[in-house]
Amino acid sequence: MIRALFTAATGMTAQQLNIDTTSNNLANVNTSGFKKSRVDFQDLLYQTPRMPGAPTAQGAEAPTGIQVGSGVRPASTQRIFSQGDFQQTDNPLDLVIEGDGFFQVLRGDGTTAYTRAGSFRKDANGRMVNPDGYALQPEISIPTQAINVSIGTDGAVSVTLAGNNAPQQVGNIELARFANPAGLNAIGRNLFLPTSASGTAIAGAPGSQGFGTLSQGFVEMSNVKVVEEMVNLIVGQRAYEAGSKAVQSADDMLQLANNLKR
Amino acid sequence: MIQGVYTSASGMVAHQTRMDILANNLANVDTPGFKADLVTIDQSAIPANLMSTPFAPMSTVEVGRPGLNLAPGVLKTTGNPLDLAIVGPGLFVVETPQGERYTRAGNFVRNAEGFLATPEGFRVLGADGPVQVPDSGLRVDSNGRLSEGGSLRFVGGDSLDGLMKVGGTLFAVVDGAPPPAELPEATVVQGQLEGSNVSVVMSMVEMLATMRTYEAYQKTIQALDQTVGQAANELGRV
Repeated sequence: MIRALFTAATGMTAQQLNIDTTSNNLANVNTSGFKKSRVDFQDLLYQTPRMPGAPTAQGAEAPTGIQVGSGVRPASTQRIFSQGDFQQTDNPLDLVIEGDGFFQVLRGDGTTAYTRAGSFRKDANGRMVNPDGYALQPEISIPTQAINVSIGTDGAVSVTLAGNNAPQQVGNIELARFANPAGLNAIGRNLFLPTSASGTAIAGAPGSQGFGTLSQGFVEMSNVKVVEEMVNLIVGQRAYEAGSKAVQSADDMLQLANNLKR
Repeated sequence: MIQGVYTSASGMVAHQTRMDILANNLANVDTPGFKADLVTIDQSAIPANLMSTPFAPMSTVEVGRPGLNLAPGVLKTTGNPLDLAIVGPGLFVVETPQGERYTRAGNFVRNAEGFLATPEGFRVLGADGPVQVPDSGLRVDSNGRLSEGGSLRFVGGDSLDGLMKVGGTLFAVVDGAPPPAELPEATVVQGQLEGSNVSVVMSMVEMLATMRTYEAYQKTIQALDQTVGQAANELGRV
C-alpha cells in the first residue's frame, strides 16, 4: 500500500496529542501553581532507497541520495516551569515561591510529593495542610490561640498568641529543588513526584543557594498564556487538516491505481 | 508489449514516492528544526553502450536526488531559556550511543546530571565536551559562548552534503563521507526555537500536481491498453 497514507496518519495522531496538551493547558488557565506543558515532535526513521554517495549509472556519485521519511512522533511532553503571575489573596497561609523550588507535602501513603501551589490551610490539629489535607513538610503546627501568623521570605513561621505581644517562632518552611524539574512526573492535583530523570530532591531554606523566596498572602497563578495556547490550537488544527489532505490525496492515488484494471 | 506502458508505470511509481516524501514533510510541519525534503522527478539514465543502438530502450521516470530545503524555519519565541535556535548556517552536535549526531532542533532540557540534553537524553556537546547547565541557569550569548566559559560546538556550513537524516531530527555522516567541518561560532538566540521549514502552501500545490500527474500516467496506461486491446481483438477478427 502507499506509504503516504500511514505517514500522514502519524502527523494527524501527533497533532491530536498537541491539541490534547493545549486543551489541558487551557483547562488549567486558572489553576494555582499549574505549569503548562508543550509537546516536542521529532521525525521518524528514514528509508534510504539510494544512499548519498552511491554511484549513478554514468559512473558519477549521487551527491544527496534519496531518503523517504515515515512521519513524525512526539518526543516528549515538556513541562515549562516559568514563573506564574501572582494573585493577592490576603490569606495569611497563601504562599508563593518567587524563583526556584517546590513545597513538600506528605501524601497519605507516606511518600513526599512536590507542588508549586501554595494555598495552605489549617487542619483540625492546627497543622498546615494543602487543600487535599496533605501536611506540609517539615510539619508546622499553628497553635489555636494564635491571632496572627507571619511567614518570612526565608520561610520562618512565627505566630502571635493572644495576650502576648512578642511573636514566637513555630517552625521553618523548607523548599525542594530538582536538577531537572522538567523530568518530574505530574500526578494531578498540582502534585509532582521525582523520577530518575528529575534527580532527587535537594531540600533547603527559601532564599538560600538558588532557592526562591516566599511571599505571604499571594498565590501563584497558572503560567498558561491564553493567546499562546490559542495560536497553538490554530497551528495544531491546521496541521491536522494538512495531514488529512495528504491522506485524501494518497487515497485518490490508490483509487486511480485500482482503476487501471477495467 | 508496448514500451510506453512501462514508462508510464515507472512514472506512477516515482510519483508515489514523491507523495510519500510530501506526506512526511506535512507530518513534520510542527517539528522543531525539521528541514523539508525536496523532490524532483528525473528521467532515468540510459546505459551509454545502448545509446547509439538503433533500438535504444526508452527511458523511464524516477525520483530525482532531492536533497534538503535548507531555508531557515520560522523562529518561535518560547521564553524557555533552554530553547536555542541557530540563525544562519550551523548545526548543534549531540552525543548518542551511535556516535556524534547533528541537529538544528534546539529544544533542549536539563538532564538529571545537570547536562544540557535533547528530549531523548542525548547530551549536547560544547567545544570542550558536554555542556553543563549551571544552577544559576544557562546563559548563551549570540555567538554561542557560555556564561561559565567555553562555548557550544557547531558544525556544517552552507550545505549539508555528506549528511543524512536518521530520524529524531538528527543528521548523521554518510558512510565514507568526511565529518562535517567545525564552525568556530554560529549566531545563536536563546529562548527561541527554530520551527519546521515546511511550507504548507507549497506542499499542497505539489501534492495536487503529484496527484494529477499520477492521474495522467494512469490515463496514458489506459489509452495504451485500449490500443493494444483493439489491435488484438478487432484487427484479429476474421
